[in-house]
Amino acid sequence: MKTFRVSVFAFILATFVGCTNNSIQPEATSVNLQFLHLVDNQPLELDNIKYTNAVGQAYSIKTVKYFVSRVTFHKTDGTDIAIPDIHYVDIRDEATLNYELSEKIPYGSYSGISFVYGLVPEDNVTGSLGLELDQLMEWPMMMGGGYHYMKLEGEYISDDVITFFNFHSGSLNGVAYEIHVDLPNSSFDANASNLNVGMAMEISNWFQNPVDWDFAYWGSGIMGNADAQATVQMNGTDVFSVNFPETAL
Amino acid sequence: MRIKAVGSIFLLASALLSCTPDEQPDYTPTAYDLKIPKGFPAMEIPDDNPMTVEGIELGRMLYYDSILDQNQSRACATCHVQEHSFTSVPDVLPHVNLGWSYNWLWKGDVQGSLEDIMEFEVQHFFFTNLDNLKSDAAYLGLFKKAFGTDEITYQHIEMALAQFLRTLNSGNAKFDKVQRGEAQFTNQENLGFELFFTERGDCFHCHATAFFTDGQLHNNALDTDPDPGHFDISGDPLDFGKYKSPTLRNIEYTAPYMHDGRFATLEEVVNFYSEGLQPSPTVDPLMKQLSNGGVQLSEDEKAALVAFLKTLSDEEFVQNPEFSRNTQ
Ligand code: HEC
Ligand code: HEC
Ligand SMILES: [Cu+2]
Repeated sequence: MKTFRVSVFAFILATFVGCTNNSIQPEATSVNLQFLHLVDNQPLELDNIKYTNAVGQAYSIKTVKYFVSRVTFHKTDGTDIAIPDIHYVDIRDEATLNYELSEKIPYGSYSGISFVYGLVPEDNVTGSLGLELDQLMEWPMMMGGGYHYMKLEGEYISDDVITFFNFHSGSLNGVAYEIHVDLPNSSFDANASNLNVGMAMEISNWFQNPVDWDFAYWGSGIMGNADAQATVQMNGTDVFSVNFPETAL
Repeated sequence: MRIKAVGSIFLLASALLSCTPDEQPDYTPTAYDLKIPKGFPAMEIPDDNPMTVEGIELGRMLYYDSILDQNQSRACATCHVQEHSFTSVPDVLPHVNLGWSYNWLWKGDVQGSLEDIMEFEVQHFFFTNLDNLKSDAAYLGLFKKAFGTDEITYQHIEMALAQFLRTLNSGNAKFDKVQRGEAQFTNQENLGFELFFTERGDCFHCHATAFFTDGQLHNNALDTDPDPGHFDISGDPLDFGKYKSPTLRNIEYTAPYMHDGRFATLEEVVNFYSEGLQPSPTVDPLMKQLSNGGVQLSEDEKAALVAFLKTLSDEEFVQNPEFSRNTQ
């Protein structure tokens, strides 16, 4: 199906280009996504209880695994280039931190980039992403099925006790809670064969704005808690930002 | 590339066969139609080792025959005993649904396909002496039937064993019947089911999917001073104490439990997850009630969880005559 889309796309482009100039190859940019993870604007240091949240709890990060899907490039002429890929990121797996999109985008001026954090309901079907991702990210049928959007895990200190937290988000019992992110300041011109798009997750923002996240209040596991999932969704809108690094990672 | 390899094997085989015109070409393997239990994903079968009736039969013969052992003293089935879901005391891993596995052995020593782990078992564990097989007329015939070869190689042995192991699939336990709407849980089993698949009991993160394993390695907080686990393989201190999450299918038949067989019963295992967790630096954050010693289940909840685990017992699997020694 992917090939089908690509060829239709190429065909339309080819006809288009064919009328205006005589180059055979349409001019297109291949996009390389780079995933960066920050806490308090600094590169994340794993396994170290050195961060403090808005309610004063010290915390560390041990696991960051999540899905990014439906990356869409918005042209200034009003057309959208939607990429059908679903990409899995695991901070401990280098190979997932750098990812070339399966389709190129045409040269031109773009007003911005948007994407889905997690999976839209039609992508969120148990068994659809292959055995390994099923095993890594399955969200039990008992809670509505599909996949975790994210497993963010670490430790926090409360009353002098070090406790694990599992900040797991996903669709709960039919309510989707995915986030449609319009990346701020993401306009660019595609005019070269390659473009690096840096997608940065500011992890501390999951724990603030609008709701200051109290690890002790929400408890170590939040998968079955609809209020918690809704809060994660609200807090997540300003977690991602974009930059355009000159060089690949 | 794999496909090419198969192509050339076939070419070679047919070339060989055509050189001996007085002999009937007797390499006509029968394609085997593998039945995948409902609710399981498709199994990936390597292009260069398609399942055939003759290949599986050969694999089964070898599995039950001590001829593979350098000293001819034990067979695979000496330790991998069917009535115990192909385990035996104290630390033998089961042979169940391995066609979907890619991380092998307790410490994750080997990654790859069943053929890859068979290479380890045959060449680096049994140190199989090929001459023993080559001087056995019956095996010469069976290898010829299965692979069209006059030459018995390690690769053929491994391919045959892998084919047999791909048939050892268990998906007809009470749990499966309930999923298919053919049976009902008791109230107690149902409570256990809920505990297992929610963060209250919190087993599903590591014992995930239809296979009841996530295929990954974890430190599940057994000891303050854990055994090295995957550290022995990777040398990475972060891997200290990490072992493969075993499948929980047929868990009732595979006592004792854990990589060192420390727990004799499922009740002991559940007590451990409820209140016996031990801190150490590499405990998986998924063991999120570590600071409380565990998920703190009531006696009723513990009994319910054990009852649920027993719904993963597939009697048909441990009795299936197709998986037993061929006595004909
Ligand atoms: C002496 C007892 C013994 C014999 C004989 C034996 N095994 Fe095992 N097998 C074990 C033990 C113990 C383990 C777990 C060892 C480990 O993880 O380090 C194991 C693990 C395995 C595994 C890995 C399973 C998994 O889930 O990772 C496979 C596959 C396997 N054996 C196949 C075989 C085959 C094939 C044979 C015959 C060629 C065989 N074994 C003979 C004891 C035995
Ligand atoms: C963090 C991942 C994780 C979680 C959560 C987890 N397990 Fe395990 N489980 C493992 C690992 C890893 C092993 C093997 C550990 C070893 O032997 O060192 C194991 C072993 C077992 C065994 C023994 C299997 C055998 O063949 O010896 C049973 C039974 C079991 N777990 C049941 C449960 C139950 C019930 C729960 C929920 C209360 C649970 N597990 C939660 C990872 C986990
Ligand atoms: Cu979860």
